[in-house]
Parts: sequence; C-alpha cells; structure tokens
Amino acid sequence: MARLQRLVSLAAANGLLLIAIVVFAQGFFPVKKLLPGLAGLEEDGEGYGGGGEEEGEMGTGMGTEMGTGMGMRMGSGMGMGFGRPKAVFDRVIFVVVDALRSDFVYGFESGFGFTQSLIRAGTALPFTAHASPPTVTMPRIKALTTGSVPSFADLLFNLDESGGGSSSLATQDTWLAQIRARGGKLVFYGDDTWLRLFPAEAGFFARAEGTSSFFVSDFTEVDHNVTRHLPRELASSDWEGMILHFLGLDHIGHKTGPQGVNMLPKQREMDDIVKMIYEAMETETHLEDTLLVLAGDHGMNAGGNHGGSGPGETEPALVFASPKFGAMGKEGRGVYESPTTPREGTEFEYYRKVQQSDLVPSLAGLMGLPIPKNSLGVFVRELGGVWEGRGSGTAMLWGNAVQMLRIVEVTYGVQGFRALVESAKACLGVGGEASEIDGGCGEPAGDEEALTRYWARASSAVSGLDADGSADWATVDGYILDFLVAAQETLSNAASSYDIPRMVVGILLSASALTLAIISLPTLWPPSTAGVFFATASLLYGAMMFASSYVEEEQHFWYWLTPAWVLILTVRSVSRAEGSKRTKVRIVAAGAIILAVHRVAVRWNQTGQKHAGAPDIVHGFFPDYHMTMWVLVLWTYGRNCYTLARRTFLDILPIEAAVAAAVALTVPAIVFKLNFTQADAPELVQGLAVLIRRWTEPFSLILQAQVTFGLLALATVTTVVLAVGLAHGTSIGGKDGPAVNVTLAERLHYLLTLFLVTQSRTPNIPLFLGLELQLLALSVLLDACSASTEKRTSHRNASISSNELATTVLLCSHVYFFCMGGSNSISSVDLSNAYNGIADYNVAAVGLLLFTSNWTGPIWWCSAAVSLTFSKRVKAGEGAKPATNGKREWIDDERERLRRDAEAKPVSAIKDPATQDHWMVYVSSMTAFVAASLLAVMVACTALRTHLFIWTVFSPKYLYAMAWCVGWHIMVNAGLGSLLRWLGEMA
Amino acid sequence: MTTPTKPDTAHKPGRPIDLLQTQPSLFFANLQPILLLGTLLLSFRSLVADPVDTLLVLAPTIAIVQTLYCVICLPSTGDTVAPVTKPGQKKKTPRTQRQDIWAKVIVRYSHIQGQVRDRSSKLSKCQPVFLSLTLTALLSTPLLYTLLILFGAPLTTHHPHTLFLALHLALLTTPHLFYVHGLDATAWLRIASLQVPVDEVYGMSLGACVGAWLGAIPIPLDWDREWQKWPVTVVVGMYGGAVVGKFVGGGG
Repeated sequence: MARLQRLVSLAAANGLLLIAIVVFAQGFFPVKKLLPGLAGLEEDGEGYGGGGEEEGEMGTGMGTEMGTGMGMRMGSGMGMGFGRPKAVFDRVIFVVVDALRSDFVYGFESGFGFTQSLIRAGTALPFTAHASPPTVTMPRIKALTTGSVPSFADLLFNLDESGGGSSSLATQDTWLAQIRARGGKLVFYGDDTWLRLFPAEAGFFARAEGTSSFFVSDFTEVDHNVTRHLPRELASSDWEGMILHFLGLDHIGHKTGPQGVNMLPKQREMDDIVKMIYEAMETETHLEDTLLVLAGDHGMNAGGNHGGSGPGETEPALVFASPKFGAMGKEGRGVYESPTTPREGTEFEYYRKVQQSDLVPSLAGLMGLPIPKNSLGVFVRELGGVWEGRGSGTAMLWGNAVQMLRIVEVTYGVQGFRALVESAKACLGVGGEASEIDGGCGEPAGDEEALTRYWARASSAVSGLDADGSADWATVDGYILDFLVAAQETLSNAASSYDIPRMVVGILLSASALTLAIISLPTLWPPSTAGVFFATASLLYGAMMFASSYVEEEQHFWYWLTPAWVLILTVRSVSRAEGSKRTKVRIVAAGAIILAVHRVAVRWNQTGQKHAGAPDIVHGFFPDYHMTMWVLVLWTYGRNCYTLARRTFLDILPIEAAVAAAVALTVPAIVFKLNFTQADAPELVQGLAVLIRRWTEPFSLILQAQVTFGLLALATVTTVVLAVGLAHGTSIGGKDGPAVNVTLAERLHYLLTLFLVTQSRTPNIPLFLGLELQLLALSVLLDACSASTEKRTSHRNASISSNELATTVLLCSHVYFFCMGGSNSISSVDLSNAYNGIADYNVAAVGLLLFTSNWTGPIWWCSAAVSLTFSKRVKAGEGAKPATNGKREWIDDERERLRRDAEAKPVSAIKDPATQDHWMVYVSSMTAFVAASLLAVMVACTALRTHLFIWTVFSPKYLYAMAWCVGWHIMVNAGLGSLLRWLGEMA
Repeated sequence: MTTPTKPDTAHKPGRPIDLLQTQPSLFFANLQPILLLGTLLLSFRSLVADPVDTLLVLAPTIAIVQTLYCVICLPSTGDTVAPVTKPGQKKKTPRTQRQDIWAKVIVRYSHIQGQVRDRSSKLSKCQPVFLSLTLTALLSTPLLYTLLILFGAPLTTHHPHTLFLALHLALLTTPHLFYVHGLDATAWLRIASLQVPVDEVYGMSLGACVGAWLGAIPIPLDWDREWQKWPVTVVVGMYGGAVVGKFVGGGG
C-alpha cells in the first residue's frame, strides 16, 4: 500500500483511539446525580409526611422525645412523619488521623491506651468504618463529609484539586456546610487537602492552617503544627465544629510500614491528643455538649501504602466518644472489650463494620443537623441509645430513611417508584405484618422492586405506630434499617448506572482503531519472527486483562516475556552473523549483558499486590548502603555528563566549551537531587555532603529545580539551532542523507536522559546506567540482525528490522515501567517528583511532571528507539578502539570509511525499501498493541462490570490503560518520537 | 597454518538423528516418556511438600533413564567415525588444539571405541555416556543455573531449589545431545542458534526448555495453592515439555 494511505490509516487509528477512550470513560465512570442545595430540617422526615409545623430549628427542644416527637400526624403523603429527636451535642471535634487502621486503635499492640480505656468504660463507641476504594485522602474526605460514595471519576479530578473543578465541596451539602448554615463557626488544622476542598478564600473556616503532606519524611512537624493550636482552640468557645487532620502516622506508614519503629510512639502521641480533648470535654463547661470523633480516612497495607483495596487499606477505625455515652444503657450500645481481636476470618474487622458514609447521618442526628442531601449513610444504630426512650432512635432512623428515599426516587424516577410502592403495599398485606419481603408478592424483580418492598414495609410499620402507643420498636427499627441498608448497598453500587451503549461504542471504536493500525503496517505476510512474537504478546496481554490477579501482577508478564525475546534475538543474530567468531562472541556477550541488566532491574523495586513490601534493592539494600547508592548515582550523572560533552555538543561547540556546558548542566541537577532527597528521604542522605547542602540552603527547592529545567531547555534550544544551522544546506540535511557522527536525535537523547534522571526517585537513578548498557548491547544485537558489516552502507537509516525494534522497545518500556516501581494500583503513583519547580498549582505542568516521573523508563526507551533507527557512522573517531592492533586497524577503518563515503552519494539516491520508514512501522506496531490492549481492557471492564473487583482492579487498570495510550503512545511515541526522528533526519 | 582436522561428528549438522533401528531401541524410546512422567507423577506429592529433597532423590533415577535412553536408542558420536587423526599429529599443533580440546577428547574416546567395538559394543558406549553425564552435571547444570537466574529464578533465596531444578533441566536437555553431537563447537553453535533440525533428541531438549519457561505462568495467580511455589510448576512444565518435544520432534 502506498505510504500516504498507510499514513492516513495510522493517523485515523490514533484519532479513533482518543475518541474511544473518552466515549468509553463516559459510559464506564458514571457521573452521579447530585441533589443541589442544602437540606433543611423540615425535609427530614417532617416534610415528607407533609406536617411541617414542627419547629425547624434544633436546640429549641422538641419537648421530650415522645411528646411532640412521636405525636403522629397523618400526612398528606403516603407515609407517617414524626419529628427529629432533639440534638444531644452542639459541638463536634472531628479528629482525622491519616491512615489510622483499625488495629492501631483496637488491637493488642496499640498505642491508644487511653482510647481503649474509654471503650472499656463505655464512653467511647468503636467501629471499623469501611472505606471504599480509591483509598486516598481526597475521596475519603468527600465520603466523610458528604456521605456520598466518591466514584473513580473523582480520581480523574484528583489532580485538579485547585478548587474550580468539580472536586470542590464548598457548594455541596456537607455536615460542615450544615453547621455553617445554622450560624456555627468552623476551625480547621491539618492536611491542606481540606483547604482545597473547602476553599479558605470563601471564608469557609473561621480559622484554619493547612499542613502539606508533600514530604513524607516529615514525621513530627506536620503534627506539631496541628497540635500547637489545640489548647487555644479548646479554651475558646466560638466554634461549633473543629476539624483536625494529622498526617504523621500516614507518613510513617509510607516510609517504614505499619511495623516501623516510629509507629507506636506516634500512636501514643495521637492517644495523648484524644486524652487532652476528652479531659477538656469533661472539665470545661462550654465543652460539655461536645462529641469527639476519632476517624481514619483510610487504612494501609502491609507495605504502609494505600489507594487500592488490599487488606487493611479499606479498614480505618471510627470512634465516637463523649462522657454522655457512659450514661447510655448497656443494652443500647452493648459491652465492648478492649483491646480485642478482629472478627474471625478477617484481619482488620474489629467490632461492627459500618460504612464511612454512616458517619454523616449519625453526626447530623446527634447534633440536630439536617442530613446532607446526597448522603448514602445509615445512622449508626448503637448511637440511638443516647436519647432517652426507644422512640427517638426510631425517629432518627425514619428521618434518615426519608432522606435516603429522596435519592432513591431521583435515581429510579419519582412516579414509577411511588407506583411500585403502592402495589407492594397492596400485596405485602394490609397490616404490613409480612416479615419477608417476598411474602405474598413473589420474588422481587431487580433492585428497584426490592427497595419498594422494604420501603413499603417500613412505612407501613411506621404508620402502624399511630394505632398503638406501645410499639414494637425493635421490629420497626429493623424494618427501617432493612430499607436503609438495602438502599445504601444499591445506590453505592454503581453497576446500575453504567451506560452500556456508550461502552459498546467505545469498544467498537477501539476495534476499528486496531483494524486501521494493522492495515497501516507495510507487510503482514509472511510474518517475521518478531512479528509473530509481537502478535502473540499482544494476544496474551489481552487475555491477561480478564484475570484480576494478572492485572495486579502484570509485571510478571513482562519480566517473563523479555528474557525469552532477548534469547530469540541473540540466537537469530548469531545465526545470521556471517562474520568471524569474534562477532558471534560479541553478540552472545551483548545478549548476556541485556539479560543480566534485566535480571538486576526487576529486583530493583518490588511491585504488584501479592508480594507488596517484600525486600528489594531500593527498600532492602540502599537504606543500609546509602554510600553505594550515591556512588552509583554520581556515576550515572558523571557518565551522562561525559556523553553530553562528547556526544551532544560534539562538533557544535569547541571541546572546552562542551565540557563546561555539560558540567554546568549536570551540577545544578545533582545539587537539586541531593537537596530534594534530603527533604524527601533523609535516611538516604544521612551525613553526606553537608557543605553543599549548607551552601545551597538559601535557595528553595523550587528555584533549584527551575534552574535545572531552565538550563536544560536552554541547552536543548541551543543544540537544535546550532545542529540544524550547521547541517543546513549540506548533504547532511534531508531525508536519508549519509550517516553522520552524531544525529540531532542522539544529541537530544542525552539531554532528555538528564531531564528524566531529574524526574526519577534517587534510588532509581542507577537504573539509567543499566539502560545505557542495554542500549549499547541492543545496537549490537539489532545491527547484526539484518546485515553483516560488509553490507552496511552509509545510509542515515540503520539497517535494522523495524519489527524487532518495536518488539524490543515494547517489552523494555513495560519492564522499566514496573521495575521503577509502577503497578496497576493507584497506590503506586509516585507524586514526589510531580511538583518539581512549580510554585503555584498548575494542572498542565503538574500533569506533565507526574507523567514523566512515573513513565520515566518508557519515555527513555522511546528516545532510545529513535536513536537506534539511525546508523552509527564509524567508531574510529571515538577513540574507543582497543589499542591492540591499533594503528593498522585504524588505517583500515579510515580507508573503509573513505570508500563508503565515496559510495555514499550514488547509494543514497537508490531507495532501499528495507531501511525506510522505521519509525512509521514502529508507530504502527505500537498503535496496534495499544489498540489491542485497550480493546481487551474495555471488553474486560464491560464483561466483568459486576465483578467484585471492578472498582479495585479493573477500573484502575482502565485508568492506567488511558495513561499508556494517551501519554505514552500518542504523546511520547507518536509525538515526541516522531519529532526526534524528524530532527534526526534534519541534522 | 595447517587446518586442524575437524573431528567428524557422527551426523552432518543438517540431518536429523535417527534412532537405532533395533527392537530394544524402539521399545525403550517409547518407554522413556512413560518413565519420566510416571516418576514425576508418583513423586508429585512429595515434590510439593519438599521440593529440594525430592529433586535430589529423583535425580539419579532420571539420570539412569536418560543413560539407558542414550545407550539403547541413540547412535553415539563416535559410532560412525573413522578417525583420521594420527595420534602424533595433535602434538604438533598445540595452539589450535586448545579450541577444540573437548571435541577431541570425544574423538579420542571414539577412536578407542573403534578398536574395541567388535568386542563389546554396549560396553564401549559406557564411556561416552559417562562423559555425557559428567558434562551434564559439571557444565550444563551451572550454565542452566545461570540462565534460570537470568530468566527470573530467585536470586537471593531458594538456591538449592534452583540448583536442583537446573540439574533436572540439564538431565532432560543435554545428555543425549552430548551423546550424539559430542563437544564440537560448531555443532553446539548450531544447536544454540536453532539451526539443527528438530529431531527427537533436539526436540526433547527444546521442549524441556520451552516447557520450563511456560511452567512459570501459574506462579503469580492468586489461587493460593501449595503447588504454585517455586519450582514445582517449572519442573512439571519441563517434564511435560520434554515429552511433548520428543514426540513432536520424533513424529515430524
């Protein structure tokens, strides 16, 4: 097929991929309907019944619970309304301890001695609050304040935390907004995520101070900055809600894992804060009606990380404490042992498991606030005992149920739902006595009908309360709870809101993208070995997307496939090489080097779920041998500095200037990395380079990064201008010119390497040495693959097989993504280098830096692939020749070169199709792989949409597939790679 | 410079190896896969329970099976060799001797065998087979051990596991290759670069390697079965692969 047609087909394939991603995402990540505005008290229960003469404001007291509260009035609606019980608390102190896993508070090895004594005394009610994934702070705060279940779509906006986006909670209905709506003041100290969600500029908090969780090496300052405000705030009485968010425990988890030496002291420190607050509540009169809530926003896994749904990540602790609970009857709340063991068969499920969102209606109920409109929480029934008399708890639950019903009705349609309720009431029996919801009506068809049955039964039971004064509260409670729990489950489960047609359209689009990409390949038949391997790998990869454990452990696939491919490549090279035995030995050595580097690299960072936290080089070796690490890091920088001087600036700057420029580029980069590591991971620096650190102390990290990036940009522009200028008008410039000493693409490769090194975590930097070594070995392997030395012409294009190049780069890109610490779990996203040199939040810049810091290896391999498509001219000029038979060989080489140069012109005129269009074939192959993998992920997500792991394994995988497709494939391969290729052809 | 006389291998590199066409040969060639798989099947339970000891105990059994296979079914390197080297000639070219020294050892053995063949053909086979086994233990095992490590075997733990795995892989892949191809560097280069026809002998070796590679697939699955541990699946994979490869090579 003509080149132009192939190009059009390729462009269309990539365009379709983009559309497919967007269309599928719209169908797959449902945008929840949010009810606008703030809830009013009269809406809770009262309004539903149509009564409305109940006093709207809390605090004025609704008589005692029974009097007006239970004075039943027939409403104009279908159910009964009875008033909300009076508020028990007028203040709340909400203490969030980041990553407070349940066992940290409740277990036998806990540091929370005081809290445990409160639990034993009955003044604190303990729960395990299920945090649904993604278990990162922002969506969890959303759940704890609005009561809704944040979807994965929230993760997409997680970057856009600056406020303007949909992630701001300032306009949503939260218990914070409700406190403000009734004139209460809020104060906040802690994680500044809250200040992004509730913007300080809008005056949401009366007093606030945010602490940044940027450097997780900070175990003490982040918490001290919160604690120091506490005595003053406890003494003042002008606030109704105080929110504290402590980050230290989370930092310790990330750094040292849950068993770290700092963990227990930190728990004791947090316990002391609980003690300080609780004792103030007991002694200060203005705090006598105060509720203390101690909650974790999420837990942590055995490695101390979180984000997914691994054991421990979804099980934070939730404690309600107040001296008032002590007066509750024991039958109300039960007796709690503490410390205790988790429920049998679980690791972290202590006491009763509730949902995180349950906090919201509970808090609203206890404080007499309206329940936020979009809350899917269920009032925690143990707290009902705080009111005297059984009826109040029931009234509270009823209010909760009415609030929930609104969401149910909006979801299913008001008219249809009410009609179903009527028919359900009819068949459940007049008296509403049916204890089974399918009694008399048959099996409910679907979630909606089941909900109508629950609602019909509950509302009948409540209206039945009117008739006889002595009600069977427990049964009524049970009926209402049945409805609440069923509604919570149904509404939290997003399965009902997938947009299947859109998802199917997305699948069809990516299927056609795959077809177009295959069409754009020049030759399909007969298949080459590389082609067969590539296709098999794509198929296997696609099949793998349907197995959740392989999605979690995807690295094994690449780690397993790559050695086999390297072996095949080596064997083929050896068999094709016509040269001497020495050539063959060289090829075998090259293969062995690639394998050896690969073997070391895969142990660099342990990744995946199954063996998370297992020892590896970065976490097991470097902390003990930090000198070794720094030697390797400096070696990497040194080598890159050398290549900058000897390759990047070769012929365009005099050698002295080239060396100076290379050093000027490298030194700021090293200094920045050193200072950054000191801030981010001081255990890796320890006492090193104190002088340098002291000298550079006056300059902020942001400035240092800006200097590094600025110099890199300057060097890039200069190199491009000088190289293009030098080549302009000579035979060098132009398509398929003669081979040159160093192409512009290779010059830029070393500058890109320095940028990527800057974007890497320090322990990963030595991997770049291995990368360069593999590239060198690979050029030997690939080169020998297609032509022996005699046949090599002076073409700019290397005579290599594009298919072999594409296969190798595909495998290596993925291997390095995973061995640098990447995985298919949200918790492995590395944010530490995403803010380099950025002072004010900028979505585009942070997004770019985030992508480059997590896809360092794949980006590097793309640039390496470009430089492999250009042939090396000669090696004699490099001075790298071994000195053995030096002189004679050198003369031979020169003669050979002259001969080739003489041949060059006539040869370059003839187009050799085998050496053409490497890059286009490469991009076509990659498009085919990306389209195939995306297709597989989409089909897997659609077919398994009711799978247990859909939100924990498959959805994150889709997000990663999006990043691979848009970021790596379209931006890097098709964009950056083509640009480099074009520049390399120019100069 | 005089070209050293290259030892003739028993078979031209381009031609597949044929089994000895005798009754016991054909019988044992078919019995061998049954013995191999049967042994594995019988000891599977203890292999899962205690891989190291089981592999160690199994090794002599497998070695005997492979030895018998070589002796009964396969033509030895030296079987058709008409050694043209005169004993004195080697000493004159010590420089070139070095590169093919191992190959010459084989030839030397073959030479001796040639003289004794009339007396006892079976006995004469014992020497190359002994050599094959020695080389398998001392040369192939460390090489395959390294290769296993490069292919992802545990680097810092499970050393005995991997070592005995390498031993078994060596037993399945190399004794018969040594036996029929000797130690000629050219022949082995061809073997390594897949330029040898896939006959029964080569097919078995290749199959064992591919099977071992495929055997790693179930390890990361979250089934939490005891047999998913290192190196059980790889052992099963390579035994299965060896048998499949043997039949594919022999049938094709």
